[in-house]
This record gives sequence, structure tokens and C-alpha cells, in this order.
Amino acid sequence: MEDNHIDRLFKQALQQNHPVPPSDMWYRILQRLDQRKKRKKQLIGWSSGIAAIFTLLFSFMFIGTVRKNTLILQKDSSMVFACRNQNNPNEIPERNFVAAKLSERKIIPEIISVPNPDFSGKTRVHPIASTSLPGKAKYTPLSYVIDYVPTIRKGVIPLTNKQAYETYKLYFELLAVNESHQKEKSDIRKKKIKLSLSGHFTPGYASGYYTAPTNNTRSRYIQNEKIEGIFSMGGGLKVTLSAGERWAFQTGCFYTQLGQQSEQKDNRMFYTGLSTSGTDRLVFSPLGTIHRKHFSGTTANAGLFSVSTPDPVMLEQVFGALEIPLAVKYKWNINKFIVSFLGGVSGSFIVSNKAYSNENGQREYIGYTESIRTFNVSTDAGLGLEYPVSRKVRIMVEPGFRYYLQSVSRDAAIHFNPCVFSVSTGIGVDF
Amino acid sequence: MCDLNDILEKYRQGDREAAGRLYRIYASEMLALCMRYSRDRTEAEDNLQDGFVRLFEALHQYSGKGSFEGWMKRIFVHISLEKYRKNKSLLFREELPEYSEDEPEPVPEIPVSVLSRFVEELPERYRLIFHLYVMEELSHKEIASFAGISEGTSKSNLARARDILKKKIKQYLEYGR
Repeated sequence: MEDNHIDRLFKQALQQNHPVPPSDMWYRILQRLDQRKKRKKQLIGWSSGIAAIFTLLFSFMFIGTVRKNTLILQKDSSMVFACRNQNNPNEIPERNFVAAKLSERKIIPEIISVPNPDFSGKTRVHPIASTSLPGKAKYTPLSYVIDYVPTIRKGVIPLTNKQAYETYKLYFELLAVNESHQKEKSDIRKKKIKLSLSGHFTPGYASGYYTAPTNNTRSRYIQNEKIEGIFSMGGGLKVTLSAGERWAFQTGCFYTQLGQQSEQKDNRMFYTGLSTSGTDRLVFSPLGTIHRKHFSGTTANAGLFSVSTPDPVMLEQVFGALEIPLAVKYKWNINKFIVSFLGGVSGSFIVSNKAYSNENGQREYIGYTESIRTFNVSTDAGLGLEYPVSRKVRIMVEPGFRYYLQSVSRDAAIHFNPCVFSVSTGIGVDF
Repeated sequence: MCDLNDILEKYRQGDREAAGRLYRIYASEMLALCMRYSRDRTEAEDNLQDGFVRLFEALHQYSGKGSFEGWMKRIFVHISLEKYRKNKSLLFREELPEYSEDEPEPVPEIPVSVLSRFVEELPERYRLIFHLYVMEELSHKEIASFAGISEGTSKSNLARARDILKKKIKQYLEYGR
């Protein structure tokens, strides 16, 4: 028999199979589409919110940076600094310098010439971005100032002769007094170990990575994509110990919510896994068996256990965790607006274990999930943004991510490592 | 086809009823497809649901070029195989087909239920390739891409599936079982 005969024979036979989908399938598809639309909208909302926060914070950071420059370069003053000719790096020092003026928040460079420059005893500043003059070679500023003078009139004063240069030096010495005072203050701050306490409110989105490698007692494989996250609320107190200017250590006590939600139709956990054990009702769920205490057939969600339940029922499993973080903080930007990176680990104690059914927005407590691990370890990473509102009080925003290193279920057939995306907002007080 | 274009256009304009019509036209056929790549009916229904959700979300990407049915089938096959692979690792073996001396024969009269049973009794890896090639009319290149195997493996598995089916038919015609 030819291959194409075989193919045709079986194709004709198998095409006669017309299974009928369940009557409620279309309704379930519509529900799923609606839910996904809703989730997309929520995601867009959250993303927009976070983007707005970042925009706001980076605007503050930008203003802080400009202000820092303003302290060095007073408005309507000019600064002269040595430049390295990028075409010829060995050409320093040379007779060409750039005079910079801060006016309307723009540094306007201009090439000027200074004869016999003296580099001794000059004030060091952070290098300013490379300057490029139209039609000229690109110059990279060095990390020290040759001179620093206030201008008497607007615009760059051309340093055309030695007398003018000496005049600017004189002004510079007067200004240097103020600068050395600033430096002293900065040195004192550097040496001091600082303690601060902050209170945080931490809304977030808790989800997790879920696998169930075997077809366990729940009689169904439940896929990771069937598991949805929940909105979590939390907060707590944080103690920060600053050691030096850039490094700090953090600890404290936080309350966080973890968990998942999944649909009845996705895992059929309610009716296929239902059994009776004494006075307790058992419900098989993605994260293990739920003990349903004090079951009464007259409860509002009694229909939950019926195969013919018309509306999709969500099962939410929410765990409250008391967390003790240990984190290291590195301050990347130490201007007025502080930007820092955080990383560390947390010990987490599950103090609350609740399961809810949610049918058309009606949320009802149904019991607790068994075999949940009491102590877990998680790893944390985040970004810290701080802005002072007074000398001792700061507003803090910390977007962060936490991932649990262990499965919260002790059941060997269930692996659920929760993770939480959060935006912690708080107020910190320095002592 | 004109009717289908009309439905798709209405769906793009936000008409939900058009989605319902599309579902009613293809639900049975797609369920049959899902059942070919699922372990049981429940899983097939799950795949059917996931498939339609993905279809409706991706419908705006359908350019109108090529067969809509073929495009849709690929979505459902992809979803079903993706899940199949997750739940159980598929092992495809590189095998050479056994030499068959069968002469061209007329197509025999065998009940549909018996033929379905023959296909169901095929080893899993052969059955999947056979379904993808014969029912979904995918090329070996496409099958290789979907199943993550080489084209050679796809060809040899298909040849092996055909050989087994031929033997079963022969046995059935000789012994009636």
C-alpha cells in the first residue's frame, strides 16, 4: 500500500471525528478574555504609575545635580580649567584653556589663552563633561581648576593677558575661603556614623514561580501560567546604619503578603479533588490541600463545589509573612537627592495562612493551606531614592524585588517560590 | 471565504458576536485537533480554551494572506505541543524505516473506529508526527521546528508510523482484529 493511500485512509477516518465542546466553553473563553483585558489595563496603570514616579525622582535628581554645580560655579561666574587636547593627549599643560560660564544652566565654553600657567595649589573639582567647540578640536577637562572667579559682567571674561589672570586669582582666593569651609563640613559628615529610622508602606504585586513535577494527589497538572499573582500590602520599620559616605547597612521588621490566585476552571481543584474528612472539607489547590473548617452547605459559596458552577471562581491563597531583612546599601549618587542600590537577604516567618474563594467579587474565607513552611529565606534587590524635606527628615521611595529561595510548600510535589515586586514609600528620620 | 472575511473584519471592529461565530465554526474541529495532542479530554479542553484566547488576541496579526484555517491550526498545535512537552519530555528517535515490499493496493474497507484505534495504539512519538504530517499537513521542516527535532528524525518517525499502520491493516484484513 502506497504512503499516500495510507495517509488518505487515516485522514478520512479521523476527520469524521467531530467532538462537541462543553456547553460552557464559550462562556469560559469570554471570561478569560475579559480577565486578560483587565490585567493588561492594570499592568498599564502600574507601569504608568512607576514611570511617573521615576520621572519625578529623576527630575529631582537632575535639579540636585544642577544645584551642586551651582555651588561651585555661581551664576554669572566663570571657571577656567586646563584641557587635554584629545588629538594630542601629551599636550598638557598647554597654553589653551577653556573658560566656562554657567548661565541659564548651560556651560558655555570658549577657548582662551593663558601664558605660563601655574598648576600648584589649585582646587580639585569633578571633571565636567567634555566640551566641544564648533570648528575646534574636542577638549576633555582635567580634574582640577586653574582658576575660579566671579565675573563682574555677564559672559566669559577673556583671559588675554597676565594681569587679568592675576586679578582672577585674587578673586579666587577670596572664594576659596568659603569653599574650604564647605569641605570641612563635608569631612565631618564623612567621619560620622549615622543612624536613621524609617517607616514604610509597601504596596506590591506578589506572584511566584510554580511547578508541580508529578501528577500528585490533586489529580491534575497545574501549569505555571495558570497561576496568577495577587496585590499585596505591607509595611514596616527599617533601621539604617550609615558607615561612611556611601555604604550603609539595613535591618528592620516588615510585614509582606505572598500568594497566588487561580481559577476553578483552570485546575478543577474544587470539585474533582473534593473529599470529606470528618467534619473538615478538603479542597485540593495548586499549593496543597486546603482544610475547610466548619463547612456548611448553606454558605454563600456552596456552589463552589458543583461541577455546574456557571461563574468562574477564583481561589486565592494568601500568606502573611513577617520579614527580617539584612541588606547592604550603596549610595551611588550622594547629592541632595540620593540614589542607592540595595541588596541582601531576608528571613521570613509565615504568620498568616488564609485561603479565600472569590466569585464575582464576593470574597469568602474558606480555610487554610496545609504543609506550608513556617520559615523561609528570600533574596532582595532594589533601588533606593531619597530626598530630604528638612535637615533630618527624608522621603524615601524604594522599588524592589524579592524572590523566595525555597518553596513555601513542604510538599515534595509542589514547588512554589514566591516573588514580590513592590514600591516601598516611607519617611526616614536621622538621629 | 467571503463570509469568513466578513466575520474577521467585524471582529477587528470590536464585534464580539463575530468572535462567537468564529468559535462556533471552528470549535469542534479545533477540539478534535487538540485531542490528537493531549493525554485526555480534559487537557484537550484546556488547550482549546487557551488556543481560542490566544487566537482572539493575535487575530489582528493575521494579514489575510494564506489560509486562515492553516494559520489558526498552527496556533492550536503550538499550544498543545508546548503543554505536551512541559508535562512529558518527548523522545524522538532517529530510525530508518524498515523496508516494506508492499505492492500498491486498493484502499481497504475498515471501520473508522478501527482505524482510529490503530492510530491511538501507535507509540507516542510516531503518533504525534503522523498527526502533524497527515492531519495538519505540516511539512517536515515545520514539524521539525514545532517538535524541536531534525527533519530526518521527522521523516524516519513518519515512515515508521506508516509501517506499523500498514502491518496493523494487513493483520486486520487477515485475521479480522
